[in-house]
Amino acid sequence: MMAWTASLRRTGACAKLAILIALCAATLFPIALTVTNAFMSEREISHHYGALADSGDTSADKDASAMPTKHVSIRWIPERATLEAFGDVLFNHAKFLTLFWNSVKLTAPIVLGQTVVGTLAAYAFAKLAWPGRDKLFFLYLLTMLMPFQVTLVPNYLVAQKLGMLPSYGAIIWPGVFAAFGVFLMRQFTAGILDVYLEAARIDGAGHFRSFVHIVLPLVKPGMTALMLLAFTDNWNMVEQPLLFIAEPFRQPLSIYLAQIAEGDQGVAFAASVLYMTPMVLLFLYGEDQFVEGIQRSGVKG
Amino acid sequence: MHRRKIALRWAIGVFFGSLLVLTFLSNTIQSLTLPKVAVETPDTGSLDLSVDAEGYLQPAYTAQLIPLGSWTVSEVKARKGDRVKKGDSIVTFDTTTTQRSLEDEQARRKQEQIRLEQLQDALKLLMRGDDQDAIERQKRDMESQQLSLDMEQRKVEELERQISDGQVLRAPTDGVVESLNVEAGANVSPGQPVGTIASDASGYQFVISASGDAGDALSIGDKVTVQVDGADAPQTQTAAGVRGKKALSGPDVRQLQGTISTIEEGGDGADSDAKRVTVDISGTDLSPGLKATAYIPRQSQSPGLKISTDALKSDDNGTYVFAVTDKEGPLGSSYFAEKAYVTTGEQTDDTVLILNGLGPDERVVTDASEPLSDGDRVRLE
Repeated sequence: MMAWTASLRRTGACAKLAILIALCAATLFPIALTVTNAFMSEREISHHYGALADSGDTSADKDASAMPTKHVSIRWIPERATLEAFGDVLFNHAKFLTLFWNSVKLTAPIVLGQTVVGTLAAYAFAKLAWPGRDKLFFLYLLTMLMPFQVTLVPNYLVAQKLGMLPSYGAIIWPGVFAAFGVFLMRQFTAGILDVYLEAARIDGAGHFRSFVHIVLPLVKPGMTALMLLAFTDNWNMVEQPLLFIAEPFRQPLSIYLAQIAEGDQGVAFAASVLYMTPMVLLFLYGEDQFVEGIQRSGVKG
Repeated sequence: MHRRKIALRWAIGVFFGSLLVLTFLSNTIQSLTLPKVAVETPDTGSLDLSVDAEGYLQPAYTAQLIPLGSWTVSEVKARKGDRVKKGDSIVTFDTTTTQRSLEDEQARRKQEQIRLEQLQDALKLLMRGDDQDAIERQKRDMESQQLSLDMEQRKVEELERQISDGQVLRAPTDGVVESLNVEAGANVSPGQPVGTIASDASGYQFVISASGDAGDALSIGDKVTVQVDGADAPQTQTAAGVRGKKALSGPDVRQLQGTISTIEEGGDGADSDAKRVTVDISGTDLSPGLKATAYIPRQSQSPGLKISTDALKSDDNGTYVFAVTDKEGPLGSSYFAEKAYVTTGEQTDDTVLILNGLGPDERVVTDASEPLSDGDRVRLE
């Protein structure tokens, strides 16, 4: 009986592992494909993915008679690995660089602002006692529960009233005061034992001193987690720039990737790799603190 | 763990740093590879098809000075370029040789006269007899002798006329001595001209060349304003034939009215479509070799945009120019050359009129460092 239970547990573990591996493969598949294909030449890419570009124009395809149905052949290994596509993106597509810095200009203020606002608001919500605190926090949470597409229209109207259209301000300010940062940081700050703050108060520290010297060092993992999540969120935004920014050359990189596939496909893979590089690097940099932060706040990633 | 963090920090720094450097250099990199173009902005208005060309006056009719006999020049009374009236003496000849032959002929006439008288005397003798045949014969001899006498008479008269008419060579017409190629002591022979006189009455003409649509627009009989430099006579003497105001460019410049008399294909160059246009002008005090400037004002039929002919190109679909459009960006403006098909109007050597297909504010490529195709990014010179 014991042996049977043990073997069942082992089988279960194996099955779990298999499922996890399968899920992991499914998640990693597009990323790995993007990275390897970024090293292919333009010619090779258009050969394999030509069918995507034709979009139903049968007369244009000379191979149509040879192939019964057009299909995309997925290739993992480049016939001749080359950095041609990267060079093409960086040297010949000045737009890529422009839009890259647009993304930075949009994302950096949001990430920094959201962290500052979130940390300060979290201290107020978690560690200060004032009337209506929990009700207000609940209201704040409600805005987070709604998908942001729902708030996009009111967002637009407010931005218009404030005369911020079209500008980065219309995207940055709502991002800075997003509810998610406040919520995440409140969870963290609530985890700090009150005795620390009481001890500080007894020693004569004011709110500012307690915040800077006690709360901030303790919520550092949370701040890292918030920064990474906010960065990912805003680096990838598509809807807001489409709505709030008129000029094509002021759009962020996320929009560029949507446009690039029309013309040169070889460039698309290389641009994608470059596009996700800052995210990957920043994640790896803050990885341990991020994991700790997510675990302690009880928020799933 | 710590070393990994440092490595990652470096990676992030290098990534953003290299993108910053590339951004900083992006315009430089691009300008190294982009074709360089020269542009111009078209002028709005009508194309000036005026012809403004120079020529030198030539007489329309030249009279030749021909001596009547083989004589020696004794005196040349006029010089090249002199203005002469009809009948003025130009060259006088030493007619001694003709004088001598005249005397010979006169003597011969006398001889014929005497022979005729002898025949008359002989006839009188014959008339006393009645040899009718001999009388008849004698009469015919007399008739023949009379003819010889007449011939001799005419020779004498001819020589006399030669001497009286030919001793002084006179101007056949009012005009200017255009050439005179004898001097005192030179021998001349009859029929060989010794000089020419440009006739005033026939007027003058000069040839200009007009190219392109400006040339096409001309027609025979068109009136032309002609400016003549350095006329011999002072301004006050200009009268008939002189119209228009005096030109401001100097006291020696006059404005005359001319008429186009002929238009011929073929200008100076083999490849040019220029036309040779002859303009007649008349007026007093003109002389050969004066510089004349013809000005034929003419505007294109409809106004349009004037661009350099260098900008005009053509392909199977028609005539086009490359118009430069710019797109604003935070990295500065970028320029693109785009094909614009145009309708052209009149054209001169260096300017062409665009009637359609181009805006007045567009910049047009006149020269490119390498061949362009539609949509190419370019840099401006």
